Amino acid sequence: MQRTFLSYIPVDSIFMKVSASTKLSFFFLFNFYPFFISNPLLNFLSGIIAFLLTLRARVNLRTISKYYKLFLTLAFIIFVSSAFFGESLAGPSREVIVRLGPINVYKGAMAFGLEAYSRVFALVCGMLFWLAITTGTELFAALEKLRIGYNLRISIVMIFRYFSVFDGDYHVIREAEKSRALDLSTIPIYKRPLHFAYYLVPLVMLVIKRALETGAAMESRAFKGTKLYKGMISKGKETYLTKKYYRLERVDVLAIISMIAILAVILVGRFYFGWAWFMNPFY
Amino acid sequence: MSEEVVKPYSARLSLFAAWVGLCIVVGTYGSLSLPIGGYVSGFWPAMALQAIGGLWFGGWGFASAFLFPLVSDVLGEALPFYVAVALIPANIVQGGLTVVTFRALKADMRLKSAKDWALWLVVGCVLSNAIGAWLGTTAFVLTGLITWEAQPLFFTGWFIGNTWPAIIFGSLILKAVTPFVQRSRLYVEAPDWW
Amino acid sequence: MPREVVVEDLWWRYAGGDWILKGINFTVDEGEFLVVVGPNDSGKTTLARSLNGLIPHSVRGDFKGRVLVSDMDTLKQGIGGVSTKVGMVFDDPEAQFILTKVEDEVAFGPMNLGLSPEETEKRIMWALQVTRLEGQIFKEPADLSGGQKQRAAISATLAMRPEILVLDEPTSMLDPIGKAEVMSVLRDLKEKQDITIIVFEHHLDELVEMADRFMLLYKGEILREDKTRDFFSDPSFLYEKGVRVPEVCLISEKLERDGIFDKVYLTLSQASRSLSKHLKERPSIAPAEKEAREFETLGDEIIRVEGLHYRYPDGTIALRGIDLTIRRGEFIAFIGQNGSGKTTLSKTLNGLLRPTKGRVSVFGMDTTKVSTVELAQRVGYTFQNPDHQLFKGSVKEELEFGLDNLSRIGKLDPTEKKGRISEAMKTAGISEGLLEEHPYMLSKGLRQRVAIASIIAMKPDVLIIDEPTTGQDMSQSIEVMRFLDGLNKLGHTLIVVTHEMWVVANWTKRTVAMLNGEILLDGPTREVFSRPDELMKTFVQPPQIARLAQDLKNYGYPPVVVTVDEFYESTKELLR
Repeated sequence: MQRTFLSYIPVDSIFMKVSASTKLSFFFLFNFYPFFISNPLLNFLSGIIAFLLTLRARVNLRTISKYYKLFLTLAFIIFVSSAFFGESLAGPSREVIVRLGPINVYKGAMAFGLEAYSRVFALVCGMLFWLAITTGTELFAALEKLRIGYNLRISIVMIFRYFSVFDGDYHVIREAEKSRALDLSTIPIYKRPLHFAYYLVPLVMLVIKRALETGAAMESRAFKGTKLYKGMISKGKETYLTKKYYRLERVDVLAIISMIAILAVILVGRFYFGWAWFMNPFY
Repeated sequence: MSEEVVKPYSARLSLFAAWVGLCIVVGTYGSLSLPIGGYVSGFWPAMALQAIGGLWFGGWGFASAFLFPLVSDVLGEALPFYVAVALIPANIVQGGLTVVTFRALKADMRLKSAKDWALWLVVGCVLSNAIGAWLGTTAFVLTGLITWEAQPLFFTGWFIGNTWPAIIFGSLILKAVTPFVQRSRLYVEAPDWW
Repeated sequence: MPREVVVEDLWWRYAGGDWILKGINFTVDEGEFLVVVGPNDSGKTTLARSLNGLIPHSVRGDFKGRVLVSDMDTLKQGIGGVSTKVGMVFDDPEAQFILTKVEDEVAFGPMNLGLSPEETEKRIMWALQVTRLEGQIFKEPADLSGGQKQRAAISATLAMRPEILVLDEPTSMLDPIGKAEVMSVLRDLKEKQDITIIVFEHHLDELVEMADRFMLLYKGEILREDKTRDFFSDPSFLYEKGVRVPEVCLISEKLERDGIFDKVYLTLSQASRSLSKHLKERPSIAPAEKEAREFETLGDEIIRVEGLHYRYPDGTIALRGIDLTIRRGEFIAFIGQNGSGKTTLSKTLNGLLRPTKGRVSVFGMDTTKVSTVELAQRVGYTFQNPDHQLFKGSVKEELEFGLDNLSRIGKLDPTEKKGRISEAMKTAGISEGLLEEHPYMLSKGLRQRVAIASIIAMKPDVLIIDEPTTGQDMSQSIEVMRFLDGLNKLGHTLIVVTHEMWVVANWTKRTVAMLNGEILLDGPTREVFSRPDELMKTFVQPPQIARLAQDLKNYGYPPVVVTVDEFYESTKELLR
């Protein structure tokens, strides 16, 4: 099994056969195309497809459970914003769906809200899928192909490494607080901020100590540190990890070209031809 | 014989990655979510680390201040990447204004004098967050997440959600930890940035 | 033999500090296996880092003298150049794992050297094969045990094909299995690979069989340096200098003084063979009544665990039906390999974890019906790493932290604070002069003491300490355990979670051995150690001296000998 950012997938899985560049292209496509599609139905559809692919990649539902809450909160923000602050989006018809006391909830504003929400839904689902099928090594290789410098690539991969380390430290520190009779769940919410910060002291200390030790280990393995902005562009030969894990088959080239074509069609269709099915039908 | 010591770039690169990782953890778990919404938390302590990172680690901390939201938002908040990119100016201000001001006015980050406290509170906590909140919520409007009319509400939430953790957390961390950091090789002393 | 390492009149001090290394001179021949011992703060880590160029290139300070590695002067060569000759493995397996996968980790060094992908792959496969990690190549650190992570670090270093391998306390943070794994790799490296090895270590039981030479570093100077056999000819001297001398050596010394042995033996098998020549086969002496009497004097029941099950949110089942009773005044050890459930069990006793099934009652309170804050006042808990539990900018504030939290919720009169702090400081041996010090500027041992003192100040009836002696040298470990023993004599009930069997043998009265979330053995410490076959299931070995007694059980040794003094007394009795 190979560990991806969100999951474990079999080494011979179809998702592991796809090139890192293809996956990265998918990432960029899903982060940009919804911006140009106003039709919520299309965005919801593409988001659902991405979500189903995420499930196909055998992601444990518990891993992505925190995103469910996010979808709900997102809905709350966007629709409240549209409902209570949407007068400028009312449109020429100024059709009112419902009156909440002195506030008119306009059809145009709610249509905008639906459009905004569907975009984010598609974006998040696309991102989840990318996280589910991409390994740290593939990201390293894909960044090398984009000529990102070696040191910067290493530091990006280290970010993911450190996140999991400090994740563990955070939970131990919270337990240590409880052992000193500090349990935030028993403190009234308006008083909590005053006591919330203590965990940061040991956590910051651990960051500093670990960084020093890791730096020493890196230097002991012939790593040459430089200022961050130096060496941002890769000039060296292909590294072992990229040679082993980066592949670009014909099908990958076709996939990347297809994704570029899709984006081109969306842009042309939307802005040149003004195709109706890219527009929001709910206005 | 005292030898010229090579700057500890490897350790500082490691620190850069570690600081981003720390901010992600703090951003993911360390927030108190008051019901304003997922993107604009009522209490976001990671901002304090953005400003402090710049003060302690110069360019390394400053760079992590605007890189970490990109990674954090993707991993933890699942903010769309293009929105996270649009927030870079806000994060640059939140991470950079404090260190630039402290260095220009030669203030002590251990917050020893009234001047140090005034700079920290006015610039580090209030001004950088006010500008950051304005830039950030404008980015939300321009990327189609909220309306212009809703911007004041989100601005208020962002500003308050960042400012009071900066006052409470930031002050605590600066007082408690700065003396230790300044003895470490990772500390980047003015006028150096790297 | 050509000399691989030459250190000439080496002096070093960190900027603004005192000299740490004072005129160090020694050489290491090609292919030699040298072990450097000494108490903490003797300069071992500093010396280790001088061998690979981290000192002086990465640290500010004053350097005098010369260090040559394979004829390369570390002062003139950068760390990158030296790293092609000297590979370094550090004590913390977590901190030196840089990337997110074993394969990437092992590839890191060769990639930094700019080697071709083909050459890198060859080196990776070779290094993983040497450390027997081929099956873990795609694993990430979270999926590896401590021993596996340390082996990955050794692989990553070996992949650079150094001529010299330096290991700085490689087993200090590992459980017994992890230690055994690392020692096994070192044995293979010595026997099958052409590499010079220098190990800085406290745990010597296996190293005495492998090393060619030992060196004692004490307060920055070399006090003794000799071939292994001759180095241990005076174990008492070494013990006084804070070296964790194998128990077999200590008992050999006593028996040599009495004319029974002709020399100090290094290994259990040697000592056993020699001693058996002096003894007659006979049934063993009846076990001591001492512990049974001690049990009778224990107080009332304070903790009861019934049918306890615990399952982590990710589905891992950590505890499977635990039944346990703890009485006031007990001094208990929880032992078992990592993952056996001992830490999970200890955390259910103070409410940090709540039972999934079953019941835990503490002083009559069901832990599921009481807050952790209330339980924290009755059951204190200190964690293995003191850095996880220091929250303030001075020792004084740290000691006040828990008390402030109790005052805030009305569980403590604020006027009592000063008295409690004073008492806790006295009990923990923390001087007034340290009160304004930043806790993180203190040594690890002192930080641990501050962490324990801050819990003691809350006056819990029960104290649970996770790994009190990790990273401590012999003297510091004895100091910590004496301090805990003192607390026990004052009436505190103590539970230590530990991998150090000599600690269990010398101080605790009762031992609970765990395996796969269940209690395997529970009883007086001596009784538990007298059952080595069952203990082996937990991958825990009794102390070396206990194993020696068990090896000689047909010669009359009682099965419950667990300390050097007890063994000596039994031997005198048997030889009468």
